[in-house]
Amino acid sequence: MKLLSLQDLESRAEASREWIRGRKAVISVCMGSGCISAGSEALLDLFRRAIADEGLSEQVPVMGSGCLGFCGKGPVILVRPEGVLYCGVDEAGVSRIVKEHIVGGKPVAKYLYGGGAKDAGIALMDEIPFYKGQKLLVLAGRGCMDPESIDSYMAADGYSALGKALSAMSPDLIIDAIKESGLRGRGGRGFHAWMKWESCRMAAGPEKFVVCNCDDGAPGAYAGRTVLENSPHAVIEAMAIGARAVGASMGFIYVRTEYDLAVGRVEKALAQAREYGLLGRGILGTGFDFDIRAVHGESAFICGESTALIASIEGRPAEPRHDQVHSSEKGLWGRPTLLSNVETWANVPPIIRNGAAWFRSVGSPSCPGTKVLTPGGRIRNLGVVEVPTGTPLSEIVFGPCGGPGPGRRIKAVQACGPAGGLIPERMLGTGLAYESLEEAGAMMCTGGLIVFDDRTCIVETVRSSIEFMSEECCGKCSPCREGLPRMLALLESICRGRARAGDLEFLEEIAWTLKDASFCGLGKSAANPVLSSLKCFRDEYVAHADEKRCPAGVCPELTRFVIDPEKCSGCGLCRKACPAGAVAGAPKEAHSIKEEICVKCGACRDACRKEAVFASGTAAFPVQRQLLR
Amino acid sequence: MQDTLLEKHSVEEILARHMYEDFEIIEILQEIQRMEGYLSEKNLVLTSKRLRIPLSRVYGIATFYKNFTLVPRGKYTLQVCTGAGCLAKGGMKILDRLRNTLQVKVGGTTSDRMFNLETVRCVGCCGRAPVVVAAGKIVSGVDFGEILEAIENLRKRGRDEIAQPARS
Ligand SMILES: Cc1cc2nc3c(=O)[nH]c(=O)nc-3n(C[C@H](O)[C@H](O)[C@H](O)COP(=O)(O)O)c2cc1C
Ligand code: FES
Ligand code: FES
Repeated sequence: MKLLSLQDLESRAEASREWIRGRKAVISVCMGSGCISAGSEALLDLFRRAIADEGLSEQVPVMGSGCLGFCGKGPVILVRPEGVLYCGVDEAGVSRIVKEHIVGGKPVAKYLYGGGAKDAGIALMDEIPFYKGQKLLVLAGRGCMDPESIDSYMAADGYSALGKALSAMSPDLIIDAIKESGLRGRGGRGFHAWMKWESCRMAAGPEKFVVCNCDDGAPGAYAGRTVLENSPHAVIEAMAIGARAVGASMGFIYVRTEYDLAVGRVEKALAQAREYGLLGRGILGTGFDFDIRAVHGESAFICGESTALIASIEGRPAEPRHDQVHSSEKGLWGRPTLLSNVETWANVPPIIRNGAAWFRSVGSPSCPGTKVLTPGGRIRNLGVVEVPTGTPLSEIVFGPCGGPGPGRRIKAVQACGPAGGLIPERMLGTGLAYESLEEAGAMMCTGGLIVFDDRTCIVETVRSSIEFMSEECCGKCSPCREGLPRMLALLESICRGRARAGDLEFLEEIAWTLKDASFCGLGKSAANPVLSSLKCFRDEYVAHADEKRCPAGVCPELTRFVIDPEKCSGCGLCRKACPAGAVAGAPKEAHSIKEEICVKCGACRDACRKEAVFASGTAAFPVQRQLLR
Repeated sequence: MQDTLLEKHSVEEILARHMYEDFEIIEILQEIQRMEGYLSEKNLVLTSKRLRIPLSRVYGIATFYKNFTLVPRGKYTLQVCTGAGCLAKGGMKILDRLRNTLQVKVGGTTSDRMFNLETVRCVGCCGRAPVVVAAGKIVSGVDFGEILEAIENLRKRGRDEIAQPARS
């Protein structure tokens, strides 16, 4: 059913809105990767069946939703219109929620956040600490939009921005709106989006392309993929608007092929958009032709770099090219190409729809809007959050993320995955914006935010970052190809307590060489974690190198675990936790660790509720040794 | 082993579906590998012929991207996530125990050709770390027993399939 005009579009959207309006309640089952892995697909069916059994299929539709953000507590379910959020729902929960809440009108405390047999818990999504302080622009559809349904996107005003851009705006006006909004790229170093648009529009060429970068190759950073999985149609709409502005007729969405969910949703969305005539020839009855192809990319971190990504779409090895000539002038097959990150794209429709002034009212003035982040590591709440730019990192870490685990302290934060610098705790006041993060030696990038507590070894963290970068190096330039393995070897020897004099200085020198001389951003950014940690956590390096101890009690060669007999209550938690069976002791009596079989994993220390397990090397240990004597 | 005619037929099909466009070579190789488990010399030569590009270029692609393999691998792949999120939650312990249990190195294939053990860097599921991807399916928030169970189920399925090849 093709939409042939703006009126068609509006009446179709109205019909979808009408359909939702008349319902008693809507159950949204999270269909994000996290919740699917926790079994939410089965729950969706169970809910449908349970609702049908009550004869409520008409009044209470059950739909899938994009990631609701609270992935660590999955499967997550939202009941509207009240906005009640259920966490960790299981099969038994389905019938209880349907019977007690949908029919009976009383939320089931057992599955509420913080709820249980005795606790009432928090019912409303907006009142859960995790959701406070968040501001949704690109994830606005979460909970109320089915990512696999174009109608549900249209009910939320989807494609109206494209309608507006095609009917009421000239290409210049569109670019002006982007310029006024101050939108900056979310994928890299924060290029001003309008500059790319303008230069691509000005560039001469027989054909032009628009490209969406959803490589999201950095471990722990999957903001782009989440956006694409949650609202593929927003990205399609944005690319059509971009194509209209610069004069392109073909677009490419580059997604890694192993991101099954994202690939599937994009393909489905593309097919739906074509069916509705929102892609293809003569879109909405205008003379505008545009189509998009989903490119199934290979997994290589370097593919995210814009020139390498272009090479990969062209069917060549993903090696970066010099970006002296911008891709906006000479990109895919030498044609002018407008390439942006998914999240950047997803910001375009709301800007066109609501105006630049509205967009500027959110976030920091130098870089308005929001940023989607995927916090991970040693915090209580893991998942996906969207916060206004400029928000201090501390507010994110202690707000939505819930701070460190019980008894732990935050030590550092690594923004942007392994290529990001480490920001120490005392600098957590740093605002979430390009300039301030860069000053702190980090980057904004694709949304990673890994938090480390006092039981994380900084040197080991940096080692694993460099290991990743060194595996992903494309081998084109020698500083990166030779430098990364050298850095890795040095870091490894430091972690093992085999460092020699001068190693730290040598490490620093290689890092600077990488930063100065690497061909592309991979090598340049690989220096970030090394340089920032050498600056802020030098004492940890020195402890490893000179004192042969790991202050966090992580590096196996430098660590020994000991149980303080005075503190140990003999509860046996550590004995159960130990994978090697190295903890011995009778119940209710002090336990001890057999050093010969201990694998130094630290599971006992994490399990202990009495803080009775100590690692050698940590500050508390010497006192401990005294005690033991 | 298998019907080579049929096999040739389907690689040809993949090539035809991509209209012999050389820029789609990466997707073509992905599909061939998905079907056959690896990229055989025969298929690389065929691809180069059909797309009318030098074999060296096909080989270049097949060796640049790490996911392509030129030798046969096991039936299922187990990927232990060693992304920062999972490492912080004990991903390495899981990997160590799998290595011991399956008697296989990382990157290796078990002697019964059933499993490849690999690591993967973040599957976007850190919220439920630690994570193992068993034959494409994410098993999250894992304890070791759960993984072993998943593995045994796969092994059983694999054996059944070999005994009775699925007809499609
Ligand atoms: C090694 C490397 C990896 C990158 N990975 C990504 C990525 O996964 N996603 C992304 O959008 N940009 C990535 N970038 C940045 C892109 O090169 C490019 O700057 C960005 O996609 C431009 O989009 P924007 O203007 O919307 O930010 C990467 C850059 C480098 C150097
Ligand atoms: S996947 Fe369900 S909340 Fe993120
Ligand atoms: S680090 Fe394992 S899923 Fe992200």
